[in-house]
Amino acid sequence: MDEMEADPVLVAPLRRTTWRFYVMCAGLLAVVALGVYAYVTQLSGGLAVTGLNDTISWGIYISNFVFFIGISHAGTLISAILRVTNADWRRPITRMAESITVIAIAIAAVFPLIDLGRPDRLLNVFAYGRLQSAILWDFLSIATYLTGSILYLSLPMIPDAAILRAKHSLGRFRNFLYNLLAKRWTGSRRQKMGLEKAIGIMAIVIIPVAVSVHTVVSWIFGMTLRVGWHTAIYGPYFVVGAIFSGIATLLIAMAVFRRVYHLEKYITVKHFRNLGLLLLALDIVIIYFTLSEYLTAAYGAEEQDVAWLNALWTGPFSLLFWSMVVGGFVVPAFLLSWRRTRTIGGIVAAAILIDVAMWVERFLIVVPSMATPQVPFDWGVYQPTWVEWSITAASFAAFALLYAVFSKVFPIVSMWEVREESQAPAPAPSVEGEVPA
Amino acid sequence: MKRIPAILALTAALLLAILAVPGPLAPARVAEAHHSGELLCPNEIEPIHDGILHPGEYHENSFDPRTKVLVSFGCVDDAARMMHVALVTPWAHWTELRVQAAEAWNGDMNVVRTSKDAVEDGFVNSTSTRFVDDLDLGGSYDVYNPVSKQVGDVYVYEFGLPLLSQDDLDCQLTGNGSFYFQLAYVTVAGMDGQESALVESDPQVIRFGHGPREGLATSVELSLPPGGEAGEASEIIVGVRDETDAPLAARPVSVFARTAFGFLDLGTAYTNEQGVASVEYAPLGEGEFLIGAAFAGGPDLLASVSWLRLVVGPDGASVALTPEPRFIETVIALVLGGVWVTFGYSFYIVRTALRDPKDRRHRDRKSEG
Repeated sequence: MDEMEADPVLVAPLRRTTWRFYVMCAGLLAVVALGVYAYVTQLSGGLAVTGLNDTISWGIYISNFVFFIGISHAGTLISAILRVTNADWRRPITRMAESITVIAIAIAAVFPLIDLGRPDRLLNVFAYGRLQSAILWDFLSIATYLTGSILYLSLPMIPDAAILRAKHSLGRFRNFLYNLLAKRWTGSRRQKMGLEKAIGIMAIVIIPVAVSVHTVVSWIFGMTLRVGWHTAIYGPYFVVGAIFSGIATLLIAMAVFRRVYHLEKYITVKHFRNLGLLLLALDIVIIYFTLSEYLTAAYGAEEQDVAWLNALWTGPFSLLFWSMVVGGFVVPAFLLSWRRTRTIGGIVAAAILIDVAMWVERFLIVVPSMATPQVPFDWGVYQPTWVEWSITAASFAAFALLYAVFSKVFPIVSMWEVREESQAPAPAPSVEGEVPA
Repeated sequence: MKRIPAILALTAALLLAILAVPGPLAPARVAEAHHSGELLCPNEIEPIHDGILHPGEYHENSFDPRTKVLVSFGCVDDAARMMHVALVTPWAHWTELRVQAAEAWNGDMNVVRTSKDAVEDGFVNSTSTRFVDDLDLGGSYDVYNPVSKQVGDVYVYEFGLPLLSQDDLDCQLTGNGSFYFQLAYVTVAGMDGQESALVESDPQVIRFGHGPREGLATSVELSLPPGGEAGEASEIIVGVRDETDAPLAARPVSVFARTAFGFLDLGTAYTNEQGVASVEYAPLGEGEFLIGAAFAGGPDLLASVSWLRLVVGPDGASVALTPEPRFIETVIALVLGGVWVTFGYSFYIVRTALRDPKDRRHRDRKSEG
């Protein structure tokens, strides 16, 4: 195949758009609009229209923030780590993963602003920010991670943009983007070497940046002297949890794109199984961390710890807690362990359960600790209002919408990377013997 | 492009449909009881004795300005006519609750005295105010499930006290009252080890078994400035809110400080529209002072109290930040700088490769070809 020839299967989603896609976009836009309406309500009425209060000032907004930062780790792990370790099977899924990263961070970064109530107070970070504060570290690391992720997503898109620019006319907007990225790309050996080198450097540097981001997010909690938060385990616990939920999100995205864009030739059972096994390993680590965290607190039996654990295990949060542990950690472990259930359907079902559980886990990290009284007569009560639920729904809709639109602007599978894999001297056959073209 | 108006129209239609559906509303917060006039001990669900006072757990309370003790009541109309009590007290030694013992007032009072380490059941009578332990006279220990908890300089005690006890030395109250009760702080005084009541509240009255009325729990939030110099005035800021977090305006808040000679009243201030009041205090010497602020409640509002320690002197004035801020700034600048320089270097490599003149010639040749 000519180097500048585009794979028709991968370009097809860019050329043809069905009415179902427009209906889906309209539905998602409507939910986003509802969220905007809710936010305007919050701006005019203040945080009083939410369930947040003096005691529980971080509710589902900060839970969403931690969750979206978590799933942004999909791109880092799949793309960067697998690229550094020369795992060739990664190629068809790298762009999906990297785009999840950029979109998820962009959405996550909005939530602290929403939680502030008055967004103009963000300026206080610049005016009065102190570098000793973990919140400022968070601000800096997220800004760095977002910039690095955009760069890391953009670099591998240059060759594909050049192909699309040269061979296809996809409208003024998309041609503008392709020109912006790849106007000078010729595909020469020198350019390829330069690009590979830059991607290699970015792959190495983005891994510690990603790890630092979620570690710093965990420190916002861990460096606070509050029951349930002040623990050394939070850094690794958050990082592993982030990669865990990131892979689960990637698996769901893979299943959707595989089915909707007919990418069975590229995204094979092998990809699901490899990621499924990785998910299983992380699931076991998460179960271990969870057990370690709660057992340590329970064994010490400090009075506040006991009150907090009672709230989680038998109190108002018990239904959420046990649903998370059983439905989100244990059941997926069985689904991913048994060969009979380790099918695409089983793996995706496990991924969905894990994503839901990880959102619940973020909620259970944020709210019960704040609800546990620091003084004995101030037990916090938190009930999110329709404003918070609407903004939360809007964030998930915005994530899906941006992801869908991205897949209509750039091929969701990297054309040039897949081609390089097929042109490699000894391509590794997939499990079913399907070798990507 | 032609489809964009259709998408927008569909979006608007869906949005209207979503907005037409009633949104999930937060459930109304449970109202709590209070009243003006004498205290009530409302029939209610049995409170949990865990050393934590949950909102709505007790529907009646009272702050005693003399002993600085916040007492909460909840009654259960069972065979023993159990009165559940919670005390929030700054006293490290015995804090006593005394309740009228006989149906007809004769001066005898059943006493439950609590400290961090022990809870005792006894009585005082009209002829002697000396505490006598029931067990010493063959009576029974009749305090139900006592729990104590220390939080900073404050102690929280929860226990049950049967108003109709099987022990003749305890309360024998069959009616609904009103009954007398009293709070006291007791310590050991004198060389002979005789106990002495240092501070006693005025006798108050309470009625058993009346249902709760509408009312809200409140909270007092106390903010103290960083420790200053002795003799220098510090502004103590007090915020008062109800359980819906709405600020309570134009409410009196009393502020007091514990000294070696008891509590010194620093004054009463009224809250502004934000529910905030402030009082100035200039300690004469250096040291640590326990500061309290109390809202005594009012119509439809329960009482609340808050305590904090004010440190005056060199230890309080300097707040040491560890590690050294300059060190943190340097580390962050180096790490972040390194990462951003690497980003820039990657970008530079690609930019240089794309702008290579040899590649431009290569591209030109390709386009000519």
